[in-house]
Amino acid sequence: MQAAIPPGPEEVRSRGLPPLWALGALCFLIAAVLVGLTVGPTHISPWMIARSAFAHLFGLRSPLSQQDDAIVWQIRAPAVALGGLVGMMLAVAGASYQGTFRNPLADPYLLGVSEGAGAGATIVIAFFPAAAGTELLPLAAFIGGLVAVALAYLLGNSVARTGGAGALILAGVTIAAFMTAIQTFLQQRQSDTLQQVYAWILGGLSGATWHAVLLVLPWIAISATVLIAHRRILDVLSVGEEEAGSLGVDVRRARVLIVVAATVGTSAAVAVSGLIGFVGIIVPHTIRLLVSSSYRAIVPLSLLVGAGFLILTNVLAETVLSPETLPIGVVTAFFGAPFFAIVLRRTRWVGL
Amino acid sequence: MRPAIEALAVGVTLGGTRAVDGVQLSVEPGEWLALIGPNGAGKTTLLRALAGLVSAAGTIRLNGELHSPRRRRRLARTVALVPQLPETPPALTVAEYVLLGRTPHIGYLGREGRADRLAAGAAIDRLGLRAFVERRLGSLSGGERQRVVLARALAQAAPILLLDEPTSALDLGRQQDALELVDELRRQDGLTVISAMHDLSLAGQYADRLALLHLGRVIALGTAQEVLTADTIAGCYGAEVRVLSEDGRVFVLPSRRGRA
Repeated sequence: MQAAIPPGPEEVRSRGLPPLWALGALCFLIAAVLVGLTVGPTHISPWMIARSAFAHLFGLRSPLSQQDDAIVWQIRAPAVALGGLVGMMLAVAGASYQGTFRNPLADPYLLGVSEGAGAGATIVIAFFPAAAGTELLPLAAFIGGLVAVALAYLLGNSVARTGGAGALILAGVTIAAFMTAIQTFLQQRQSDTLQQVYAWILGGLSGATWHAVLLVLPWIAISATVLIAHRRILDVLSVGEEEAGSLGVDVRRARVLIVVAATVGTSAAVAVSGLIGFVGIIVPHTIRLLVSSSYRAIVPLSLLVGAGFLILTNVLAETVLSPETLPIGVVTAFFGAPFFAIVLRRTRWVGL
Repeated sequence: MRPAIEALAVGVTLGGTRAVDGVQLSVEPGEWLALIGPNGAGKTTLLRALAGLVSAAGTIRLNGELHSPRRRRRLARTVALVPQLPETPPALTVAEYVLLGRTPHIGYLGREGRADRLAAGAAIDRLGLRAFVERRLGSLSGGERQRVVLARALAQAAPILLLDEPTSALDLGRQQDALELVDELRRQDGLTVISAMHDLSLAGQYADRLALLHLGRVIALGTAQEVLTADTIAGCYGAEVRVLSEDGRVFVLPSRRGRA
């Protein structure tokens, strides 16, 4: 069946994941973690933090005072860990939605996924406050997110069967508005939990706990693993449904797998961090611009850069109006909206 | 010898209309069959049915095996399809694009191995694209892009090659280049080729046989001399043409109505 390979042909390679960029992204993440651990109203030197980390790892006595140790390991570190997880997830999900829908404007926030997950999570917080810290919260968020993305896709497809970039996003924004209405209605009705929901929905990592980190870690780990495994399939999908099919890919199955995985992870992230938009636009597009348009580079680099990006954004949110904390979603939107405008201008209206 | 492609009573219904209706075809291994016919005759739909991209009634056998669109990967190792307007993401490099052709030989979540990189390299060499390996698709001319698309189909290493209007976007010289190339590849690898074609003279000169489709049915099947007659063409294209024959080659020339 196979055509004979003539003697001595040279191999060709795809650009894949350039090692230098991978190293650079890793350094960026490490730097972001260090900044996240050191910057704050209480000055604690990086050297002391490193020593106390070492001490904790090997069960020695921490060189920090009890109070400083708590600030670093019970306040800052969970925020860094949660910010990293949420940022990596939103960036990888954004890249994956862009690849599956072949739409450069796709983002969990603009597809309504985040808002759907928010509505799902609000139902739990408002009606079952006792369950708010359990597995039920990410699960409800996931159901809400999946309903939203399915509705956005169906609506967008019925408007433009060719899948124009604009139609899907307009559909997503429509669904997002509706989900936000449901969410706000529930929030106002249950005024006793209003404060809690309101603080959560604006998006924040300031109240982050290790409990929240452990709650979302498995979901995000599974979701990110599935999406990374699909990086070559995302490249194949870039030639469109028909041609990917003629190359032997079951496009419908691949789409469902990728969208469900991205939605699971996004919903878990939303459940603990509230609505944080544009990370899924800023990070993957920066990588596209600087490194490569192949998802074999975009997906793994989005993971590292997305994590570092949100950790730094959180530091900014906590310091810019110090001692007040700015909702992190406000900071990402402040940078993300102009960025989105640039991507919009560069996008041919018909698609990627 | 078993036919490479055997179609028995193949029919496709699209949006309530019968796009392909009772098509009966048998193509020998190594043969080139051209599908001709006016716009909307069902040429593209028939190719898509053979590639398993639309569900079809009737029976299709490829190399004697029953065609099963559900087993996508297996089908893609037997049939490569080059659509009329292939999607060529402008930021992909030629190497990356040609490597996509190896997809049916790689596990669902797998990565390209050495064999795949060699096969893609060989396809690139055979189409004279070595100098373009690192170029982006967006920077290529129409003729170059057409060769890259053929290289991807060749890297797929399928014994049956389906081409939908392979020359529609090319100028006269590039049209001949592309068709000569297909013919050369077919002879070297023993590929079976089915191509939908608009230009009847080119179809007649390159293909071994022609199948004339009209309203989804094959209404004439045979050599260029047999199929390309002024009457048949007038009948289904609604066109007035003169058919010239020279050294066994057939030329179809449109002539202005009422002045012939």
